Parts: sequence; structure tokens; C-alpha cells
Amino acid sequence: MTATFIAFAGALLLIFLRLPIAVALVLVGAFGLFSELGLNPTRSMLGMAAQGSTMSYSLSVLPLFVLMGNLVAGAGISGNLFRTAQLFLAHRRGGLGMATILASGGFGAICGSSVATAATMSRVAIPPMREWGYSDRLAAATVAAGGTLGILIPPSVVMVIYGISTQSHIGMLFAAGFVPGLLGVIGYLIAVRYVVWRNPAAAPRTARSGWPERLASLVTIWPVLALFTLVIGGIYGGFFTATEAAGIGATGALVFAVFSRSLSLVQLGEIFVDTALVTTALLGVVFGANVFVEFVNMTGVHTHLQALVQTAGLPPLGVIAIIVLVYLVLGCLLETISMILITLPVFFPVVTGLGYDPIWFGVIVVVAAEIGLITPPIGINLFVIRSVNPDIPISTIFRGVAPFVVIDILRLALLVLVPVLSLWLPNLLF
Amino acid sequence: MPLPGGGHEQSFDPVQAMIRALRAALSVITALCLFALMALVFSDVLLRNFFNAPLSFGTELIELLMAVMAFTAFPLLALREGHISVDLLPMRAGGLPERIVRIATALLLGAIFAALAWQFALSAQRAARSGEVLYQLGLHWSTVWWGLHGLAVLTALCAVIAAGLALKPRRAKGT
Repeated sequence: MTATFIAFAGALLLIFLRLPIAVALVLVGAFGLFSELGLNPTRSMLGMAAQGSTMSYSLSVLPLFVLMGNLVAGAGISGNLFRTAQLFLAHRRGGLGMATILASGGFGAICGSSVATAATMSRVAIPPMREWGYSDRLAAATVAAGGTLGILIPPSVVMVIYGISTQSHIGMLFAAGFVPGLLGVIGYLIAVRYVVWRNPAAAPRTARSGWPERLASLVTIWPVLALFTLVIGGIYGGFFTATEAAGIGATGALVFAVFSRSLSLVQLGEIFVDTALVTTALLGVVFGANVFVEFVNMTGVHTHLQALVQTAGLPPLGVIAIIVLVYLVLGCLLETISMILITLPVFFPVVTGLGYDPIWFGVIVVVAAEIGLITPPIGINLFVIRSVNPDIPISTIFRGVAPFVVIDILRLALLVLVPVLSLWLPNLLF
Repeated sequence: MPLPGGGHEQSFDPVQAMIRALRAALSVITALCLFALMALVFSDVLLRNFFNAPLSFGTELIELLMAVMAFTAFPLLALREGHISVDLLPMRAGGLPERIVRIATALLLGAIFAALAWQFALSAQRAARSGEVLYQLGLHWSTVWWGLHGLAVLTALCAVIAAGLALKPRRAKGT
């Protein structure tokens, strides 16, 4: 146990000192392995970890889903989604904020990355909101919160990582994220309405659009519906696996991008290079986590933790509450995927040992990670928005997300207490 | 793309020209691997569902493409200092503490990839002795390991170059 705590503390310290997460995890893990096993086994384990995190069929789903999202974003589909939602909702108070949430949810249905959703929507939604006199606080917070929907509404890169790490069924995980994702959308809409109710000046009304214009705009979002149906429908229809669905989705997005003529050949090439780099950076984290976890597993911490849980006499829900609390705290300090990869080997056996469903736990972990994405001081979505809109102070964004974080915590509590919300759809489909 | 050092050279600098050429070549290879990965998965689904003829070598080729995509992107990430990190500790861009962290990061990254290169070379020698081949593709494992060894060495070298570039102050961190 002590060695594990030292390893976690050491990794956090190195990450805090701005070492890349992958490097910090490899260093701590390799040092631990070296001190226990010596040079040759450590070097051999490094090689195996590198092979397992790159030369992997199951991980090929990552670049393909990231590519699909990047192509769709590059082709300007996010703009169409926002415009359509805007035409339906903008005349209501806070309508542009609600349109942003709906468009983010729609974009999340074809993009598995939260950061990509936040970055795309901040370019699309913040300028019109500011133009219509929305407060920076509400505009930025809405995009930050809406961006988190990308990792819960299927397809989701984080759920893929969870599924591979725990050998859980990725299709079931995707299905399990659907209802909680919709609850997230509803919760964020309520948060926007609450902010506007508290401060009507934060979101002035805008002009009402006519039905012909609204209906015409629906035509522009057909690629979203087509891609979502193709990818998710293909998985649940039993036509293809998650990896194959990702390949089909990426090809479909490429075909759409080419035929929409919104991207030049050079831009398409840049999207491919960027996707390869982003994915490889993620694979680097997977490699680091593999080495780190190899050492953590060797210490037998999960066995100690299981024994501790049994002797402490805590009710199962109390254990889940503690684990969720750890995720909420770590989510404020660590990047999502690394947090999940290094904690799962410790918590997963404990949770499944208590008889909880791994698919349900996956949803809980992802929702807790979502909260981390908009919680200061790290909250990566907040910094993404700040980098796209440098004139909005980070403190303004921090203050703005508070109602959304509260709603998220309530949603998390609901999902913990009512597992059927997550498990109903996967049990129905599989 | 901005240069890793963020500089705008006035005269011909052979080192910078070499880095630019290397980046361009690696970018093309990694992008092509990703495109091939996508096309392969798509073709496999199409051939299996419509012609009942799945690609027998599909899984192995996907795994190889993943490895080549990642190991050609690793040197680029090393040059760009593009690995995922958390900027929790405020540091002035170009200041001494920031440069020390960048140099330490690059050197540690170089050391990790040097260790990987060493391991891959050992794996290649072992595979050559045993004559192991990839089951579906028939390719010798030693060829695969030597290829990965070369790319790991290249990543380690790129990390050392990044450390050298970090010695010079720059205007902003380009990750």
C-alpha cells in the first residue's frame, strides 16, 4: 500500500512540475519496477507496454473516432447544428445558450472527444452569443459544459479507453451513456434557465424565426443524423464492431467533407496529421499508464484495498461514494484519460467485487471525469475556451461554470442511486 | 508550421532545413498510415458483408499500421514538445524554470525511447534467431522490431534536438 501511495504521489508531483503525463508515469512506474525486479525485466516490460499501447487492434478505434470528429468539425457541420438549434430556440430568454447545449449534444453524437467538442463549439457559438449581448460568463460556461457531452454521448473515446482497460463491451458502454447523456443535456438546459432567471441581463432575447426557415435548416444537419445512424445503428444492428464502426464513420465523414467542398486537399492532409499526433499523444499516455499500472499491480494494492473494504464494514454505497469523491478530486488535477487509466486497476476489482455492474461503473467514472473537465484549476475545457477566446478572463469562466458543476454533481448522485438509468438501454439492446 | 524553436531564420540553416524535411517526411508517413488504417477497416467491412470475403491479413496489418503511425508521430511530438502535460504550475514562457523543465522533459523522453530502442533491438535479435514470422502477413518479426528500433532511435534523437532548441529562449511554447 505504502509503495502505491508513494508512486501516486511521485507521479502527481512530476505532473505538477509540468512533465508530460506519459513521461511522469513511465518514470515512476519504471523506477518502481527497477527497484523490485532489476534492469532486464524492467526494460522488457517497457517494451511490452510500448507494444501493447501502439501495436493494438482494439486501440485502432481511437484514431478513427478522433478522425471522424475532426473531419466533421473541419467540414463545418457544427456550425449547421448551432444555426438550426438557434432558429428553434433563440427567441427564448437564454435561447442561444440552450441552442449551444443542444448543438454540443448533437456534435457529441458524432465526435467522441470533449476537447474537440468544446474547441469547435467555442468557435461557432461564442461569437454570436457575445454579438447578441450575452454575458461572457454565461457564453463561455455554456460551451465548456456542453463540450463535456462529447465523452458521454456515444461514440466516446473515454468509454473506449474504459472498455479496453476493463475488457467491458464497448457497444454496451456506448448504449449506457445515452440516457445519462440526455440527462446531461436536460440538466445543462436547466442550468442555463437558472442563470437567466437569476440575471435576465445575462441573456437578452433575440428575433423569432419563421417555421419555413426552421424546417429548411433541418436539411443542413442530415450528415449528423446519417453518421450517427450509420455508426451507432451499425453497432447495435450487429453489422460491425466498434472499431469497424469507427472506420466506417471516418470514411463517411471523409466522403462528406470531400463532397461538401468545404476543405481543400491541404486542409484534409492537416486534419490527418493532427489526428495522428493527437492520437499518438493519447497512446503515449496509455503507454505511460501501462508501465505505471504494471508496478501498481505488482504491489497488490487492489487486494489490500478489497480486504480493507471488507474489514472497514462500509456499506457498498459508501465505498462508491468514496471512489466518486476520489475521481472528483483527481479530476480537478489530472487529465481525464490518464486519471482513468491509472485508477481503474485499483478501483475496478473493488467495485466489481462488491457486485456492481462494470458497465454502470463505466458511466459513473465517465460522468465524474466530465465534471473534472469543467472544474478548476485544471478543467481542460475551460482552458480550451480561454485559448480560443483569449479576451475572456479565466476567472470569468471559472465563476460561470459553477451552476453547471452543481447540476452535474446532482446528475452523478442520481446515476449512482438509480443504476437502471444507465443499464436500461444496454440491457434492452444486448 | 512554426519551427520548434519558434525562430524565423534569416539565412540558410542546414540544421533547421533538415528538421523541416524530417518533419515533412514524418507527417506524410503518419498521415498515410492513418488513411490506410481507415481504408483498410472500411474495405474489410465492405468485403466481408457484401462479398463474404474478409481480408485475411486485416488484423495484423491494422496492428502494424497503428505501430508505424504512432512511431512516426513520436519523433514529431518530441520536436513539437507536444506530449500531453498539465500547466498547473505558472511559469513565464521562455523563463529559466520553464526552459529547465523543457530540457529535462526532452532528455527524459530521449532516455525512455533509447531504452525502448535497446529493447526492440534485443527483440529483433531474438526473433531473427527463432525465425518468427507474422502469422497472416508472413513478414519476419525481426524486420518489424528493427523498424521500430529505428523509429525509437529517431525519437530519442529528436528529443535531444528539442532539448538543444530549448537551450535558446523562445517567445511562446508551441505545443
